[in-house]
Amino acid sequence: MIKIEESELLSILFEVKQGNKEAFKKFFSVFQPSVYYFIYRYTCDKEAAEDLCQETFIKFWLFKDKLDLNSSPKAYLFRIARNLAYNYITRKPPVSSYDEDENLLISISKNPEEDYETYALVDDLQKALNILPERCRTTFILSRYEGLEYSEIAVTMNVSLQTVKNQMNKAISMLKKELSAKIN
Amino acid sequence: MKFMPKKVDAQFLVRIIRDEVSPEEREYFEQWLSESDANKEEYAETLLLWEQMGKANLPQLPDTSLQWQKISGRLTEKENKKFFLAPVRFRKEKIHIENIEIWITRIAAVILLAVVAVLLKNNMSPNEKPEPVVVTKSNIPSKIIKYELVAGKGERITLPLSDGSIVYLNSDTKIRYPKQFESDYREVEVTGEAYFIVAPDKKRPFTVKTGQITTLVTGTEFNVVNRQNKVEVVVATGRIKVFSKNTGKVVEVQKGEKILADAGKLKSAFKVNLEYELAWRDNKLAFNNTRLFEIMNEIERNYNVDVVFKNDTLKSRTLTGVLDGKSLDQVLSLINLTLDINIHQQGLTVIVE
Repeated sequence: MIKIEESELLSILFEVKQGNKEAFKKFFSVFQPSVYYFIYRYTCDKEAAEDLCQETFIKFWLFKDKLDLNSSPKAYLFRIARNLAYNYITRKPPVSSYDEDENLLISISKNPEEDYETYALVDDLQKALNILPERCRTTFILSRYEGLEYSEIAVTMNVSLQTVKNQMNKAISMLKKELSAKIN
Repeated sequence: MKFMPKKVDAQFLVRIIRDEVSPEEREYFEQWLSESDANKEEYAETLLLWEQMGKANLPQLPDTSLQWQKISGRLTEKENKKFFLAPVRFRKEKIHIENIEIWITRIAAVILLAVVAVLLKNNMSPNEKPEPVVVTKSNIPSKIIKYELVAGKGERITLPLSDGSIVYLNSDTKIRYPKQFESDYREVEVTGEAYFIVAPDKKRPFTVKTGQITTLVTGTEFNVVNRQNKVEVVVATGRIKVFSKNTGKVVEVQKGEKILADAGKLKSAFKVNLEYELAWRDNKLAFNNTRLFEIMNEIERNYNVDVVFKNDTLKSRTLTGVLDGKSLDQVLSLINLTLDINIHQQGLTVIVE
């Protein structure tokens, strides 16, 4: 992961806003891993993560006029990513088994036989993540892996701070249950 | 978040693990920890889970250059969206008090948060403290509430800030500031002209944003002008740092020096005569080979009149000196005498010929 200084990021974003593609390329190389892995953890789908990652940056570019240089570009980027990923999982027709509870979205593709192996290779930790309801999962991923504070998560998800805290509580509780069950 | 938790729950423990807590909160946590073995176990389990979840196997990152090529190609073409790229609709913005700044605009003449605003004709009498008008719900954290205070033409306002700093607004000036500053920085925004006396606080730097330029101090006195994309900062005491978002440049400016910025580009600082630069603070108008056009702009602002030049060549006549006239009449007579021209008033208009 490339690390850059805040002031450098500011000047890159300034250039991006002006339509400078070279600057946007740099921006992309800095944030590609964050966005890709966020979407992967969210959807448990490599191909979708690759495609949606591209879409996220394209959308970011298309709406660069709305970029507010004073606020966190990360929060804005994740907001776009999460919305795209959410639309993806809700629009995908679930095939063999799906849960009636609309909150539980387990990523199962159209070819269960072909993907069973791949699915089995997904480790227990990711499987545990998959079981979390969407908002819980988003909250946990943003906190644990992207290092966002609750207030930033609230902005990304467009919910209140208290909601974020509740979601985090729920996430920890469900993950504990899920992982201790696996051990036993 | 600096509020004390009502109880220790998972999200609080996460903040402990991430070290995002205040010293008071940490003390509270340590006490809770020592209260029982069950508590110790709960914390240990949460910490273990947190560590474990970091060990997930991840697929390899798709090659960055390849990905960029794909993106770059699509940035310029008009695209037909695929099915899972259907327009993303962001949820409608709900006003959640905790994370959106609420801007409240006030007209200085109507609502005052500060000392009395007076017309330039009268002397300033800074002895009343007007009632702050609360226009928002009482459960909004003060830091999130921002105010906008406007000094109209012909007005000046003295504004005390929540940290003890004082700002003097010249005419035709707008300032945006929070009801209460954050715990690690203090920030305001100015359009127009203002003089700052910043209360010293090494732990909380004070920044003044003027368009692309930001001035950074810890405790000092300085004057800021932000008009028509031109920014000027003059330092009366202490030292400041001036930063341009545009160019990324940072310049240190000392007492007795001035720095200019045009469209976000900073020039070097240079020595100036503080009496001239800060004349407005003593209710004077100071000019140094200043064109009549600019002088009349200043008069428009300070006396809230409209100026009309009947003779355009007069715009470039220059004047040097300090006008200590209190009334518009006196000022205009002085200019007439010095430049041997005829400026007269007609109602609210001043005519130069």
